[in-house]
Amino acid sequence: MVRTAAEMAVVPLLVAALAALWVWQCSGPDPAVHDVELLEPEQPGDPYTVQATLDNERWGHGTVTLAFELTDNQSGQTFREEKRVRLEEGDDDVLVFAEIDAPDGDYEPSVEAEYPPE
Amino acid sequence: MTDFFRRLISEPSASTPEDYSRRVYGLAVIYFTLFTVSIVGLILLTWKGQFFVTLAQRSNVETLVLLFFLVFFGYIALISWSGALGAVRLFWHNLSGLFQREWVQADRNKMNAIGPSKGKTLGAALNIRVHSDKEPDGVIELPVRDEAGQMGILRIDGARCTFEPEFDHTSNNIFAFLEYQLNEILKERGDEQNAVVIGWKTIDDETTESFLAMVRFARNLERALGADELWPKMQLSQTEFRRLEEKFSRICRPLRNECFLPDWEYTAEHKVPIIPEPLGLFTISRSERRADPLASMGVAAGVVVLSVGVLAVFILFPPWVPG
Repeated sequence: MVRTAAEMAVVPLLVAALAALWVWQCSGPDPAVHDVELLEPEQPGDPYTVQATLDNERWGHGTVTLAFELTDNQSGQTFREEKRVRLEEGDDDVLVFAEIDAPDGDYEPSVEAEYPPE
Repeated sequence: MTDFFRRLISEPSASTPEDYSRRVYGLAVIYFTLFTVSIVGLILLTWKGQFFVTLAQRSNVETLVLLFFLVFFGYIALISWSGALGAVRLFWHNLSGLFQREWVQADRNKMNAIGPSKGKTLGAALNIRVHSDKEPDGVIELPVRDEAGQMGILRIDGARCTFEPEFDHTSNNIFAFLEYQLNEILKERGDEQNAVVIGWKTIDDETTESFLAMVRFARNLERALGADELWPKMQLSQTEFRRLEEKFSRICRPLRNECFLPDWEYTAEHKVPIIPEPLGLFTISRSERRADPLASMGVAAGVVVLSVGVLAVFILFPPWVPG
């Protein structure tokens, strides 16, 4: 049986289309954190607030774990708070924040996004 | 066995000297790909181990699958190591041969690098008896050599074919090449019978020897009865013999290249479960007496490349998992 080039190309094209569809529809997000900011407590004894902006740099969607951390510039001690955020396709400049209980001090804030969430 | 499966699995790329050469280079690429891609797979799994464990657990896939892939890539890297090294040595010799004006000297260097044979003889059984028209019941001796040197001696004693190689790692594909050349001669004569390799001694010596014993019985009976042809026969004229000699001399260079690579030839079985396990009520299968490494290792290379490709896609585009 002699097959034409078009007939022979059907299966690889179908496989490629399915693979592309799978990547397109079943992909997770690609979270990127920027503009991390530390807000001092309004009153002594209140928690610190760490806020940041979150972008989804891909078309995927899913739940992301955000690790908010305060690092004491003197002692190096860290205070950590985790939160989960659901990112949808096209989400941009999503404001995220966490309140962290920590004693008065000089802190450096950081936020890390992790996907897939543990 | 249909011609399609013979060309695909059992005797690929054995019809012309150019085909034979392409087969050897193809094998070298396959062994090198198998080794390097499986190492890449091992690196990806260990480098992104935490990511894959999280992904496996989040998507309810057993984490043991990752261990399976680690063992799989490790095993493939181990078995393809010698082939990859052979491919690099072959590439190096061919590269240095490019700078030498004389290919003969380059091929002699290759022979020195390969080292002598440990004395393994290859054997196969043909479905027809092949003799010379000068000696209708004698043995045909065909030295396989070119200007650079001799690669071995091919002996055809009726249906029994043997090849005594001068160097190790020569494959049974030389008998597949013989089969194609005999069929070409038969076709030119307008003869409808086909020469087919029935058994490969290094793969299944019991079956091959029992078949050859039957041919011998027919030969003895033929003599005793004074009959002309009890078992199908083919007599080679001197011109045809010289043509065979010339064709075999043209595969000396690919044969030398082949000696750098390991020779893994086994029978092959392909199963398609119609009703899969655990019921397993109906499975269709197909077995081949010989699977050329080009087919078996080619499939392995395809599977390894696909597996590593999927791992890479997962790293580049992490799939959605439940939160």
